[in-house]
Amino acid sequence: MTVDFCGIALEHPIVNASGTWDPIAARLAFGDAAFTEFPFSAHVTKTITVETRQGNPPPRLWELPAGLINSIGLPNKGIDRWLREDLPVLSDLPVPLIVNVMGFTSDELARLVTEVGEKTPAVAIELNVSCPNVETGLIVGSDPTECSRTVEAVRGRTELPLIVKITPNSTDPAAVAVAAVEAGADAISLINTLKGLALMPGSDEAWLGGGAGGGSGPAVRHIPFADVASVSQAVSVPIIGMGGVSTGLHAANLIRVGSTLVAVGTESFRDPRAGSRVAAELAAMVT
Amino acid sequence: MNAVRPTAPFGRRAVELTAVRSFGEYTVLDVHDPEAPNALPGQFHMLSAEVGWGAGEDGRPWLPRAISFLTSDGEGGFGFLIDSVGPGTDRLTRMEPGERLLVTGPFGNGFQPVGASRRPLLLGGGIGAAPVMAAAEALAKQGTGYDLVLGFRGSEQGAISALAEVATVVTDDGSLGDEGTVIGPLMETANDSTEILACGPPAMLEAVRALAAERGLPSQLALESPMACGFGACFGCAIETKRGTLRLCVDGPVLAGDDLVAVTASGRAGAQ
Repeated sequence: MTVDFCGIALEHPIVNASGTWDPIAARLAFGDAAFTEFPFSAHVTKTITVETRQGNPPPRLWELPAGLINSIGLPNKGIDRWLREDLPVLSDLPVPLIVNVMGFTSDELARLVTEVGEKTPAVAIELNVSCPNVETGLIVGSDPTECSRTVEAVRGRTELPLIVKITPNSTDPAAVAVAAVEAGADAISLINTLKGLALMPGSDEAWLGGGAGGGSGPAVRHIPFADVASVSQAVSVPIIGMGGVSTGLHAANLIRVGSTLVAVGTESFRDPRAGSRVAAELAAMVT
Repeated sequence: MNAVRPTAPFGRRAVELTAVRSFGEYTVLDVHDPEAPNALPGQFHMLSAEVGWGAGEDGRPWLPRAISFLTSDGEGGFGFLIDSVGPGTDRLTRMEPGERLLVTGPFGNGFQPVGASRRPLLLGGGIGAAPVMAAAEALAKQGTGYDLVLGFRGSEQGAISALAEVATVVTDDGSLGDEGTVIGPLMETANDSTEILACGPPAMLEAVRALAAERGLPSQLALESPMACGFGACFGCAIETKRGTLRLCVDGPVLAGDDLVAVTASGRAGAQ
């Protein structure tokens, strides 16, 4: 069931959610099969920033009924080391690469988009806009005006398709999506994690080292159904839907409400080949 | 012991629980896992029950649990040592023979061969007895001499030490073996050619790390952290080291004592 996404032909509609699959670590754990039997039709990288980030202090995970809250803090090597150390390895993956980036200023984001466009074989760039603009203090992905400015600032830096990842933590994700598309976004992905707080037992203090975190997994599954449906009615670009997908039926439902691709995230933690399984279950439903 | 890290079959598999054995408060789950490669002591598997996982009070457990093996017969038979401390380990210890576990792994690096002309001193504290008892068994099969010291809160936890061929056992309350911690026998046994392999609670590992550093002895410490995946995907098990922030699941769980500034609890006290 080949699928076209922004002019890119993918073998099936199931990709990984950014930050939920590390092919290099998986190859250490599983050997070459992690590459040769890669479970997804494209690899979306973990978020890459300009500077190296160590991430948040532990603990970083809180188990939910059917899900988890994480506060990982975007640990990554930074663009320079990623290009030098990781990209050559990721280039051996048998599937196209989608690179996810986040900048804390428009200059940072412009640099990331330019370098990914010029120095990598990426077929698309996903913008993680679930961060504050340090100049305005606003969460870019929650505010249509801020999102529009951010996309406009980088649109001219690359000809690659730009995917804007929308947060569910706003009153109107569709308005943010419309602003992103009018500013030049080629696709929308949603949802990012839902903001949540795990409390230390018997206390009002945060359990997670980073404070509040993001909820994911089956616990949030019905939220993207609503958000994808409203965004798909508001924009005509392709959508990558995600949030709590663990079976082919869940993927089929996200496609019914308007997704072109579906991302599997948290379920991969339980089942490393969840992507392949969901793709096979989806194919069996469609044929 | 083999230094080469065995890789896990790519995917999650259902394996049969062949026996459930109780040793005081601890439980050993014996599984038959013919697809599993031989694993190094100190490597771990991610375990969940095939049914009734997510159906407990408060909807948990949901994620698999990282568990070290205590025994390995080289033919797919593994015994996992479990202490019921939360909804995941509670469900695991309530399983019955014939039920199936969902398994991924083995993951992580495992204990490495000790340096030339060094004698391994194996130290296990509480549930941390599992990987060091497994290491002792592997060394015995090789005909390599070692010393094994196991420390527990009391006899309810220490009952598992009956499975060790030769061990010095100590307990906090003196109900089994001498009263005290593993540090006493460590001080008595260690000499200049000792290499320490240890697993146990953070306070014990920190004491072992500090003593090893003070005496210039190499040490391999098997650490623990909550994990969602076990194969480097979730970044949940990060730990601060002199080599930067590492993921315990792929860069550990066994780290050289020299790589650590200090062993601290990576989760909050008492876990979630």
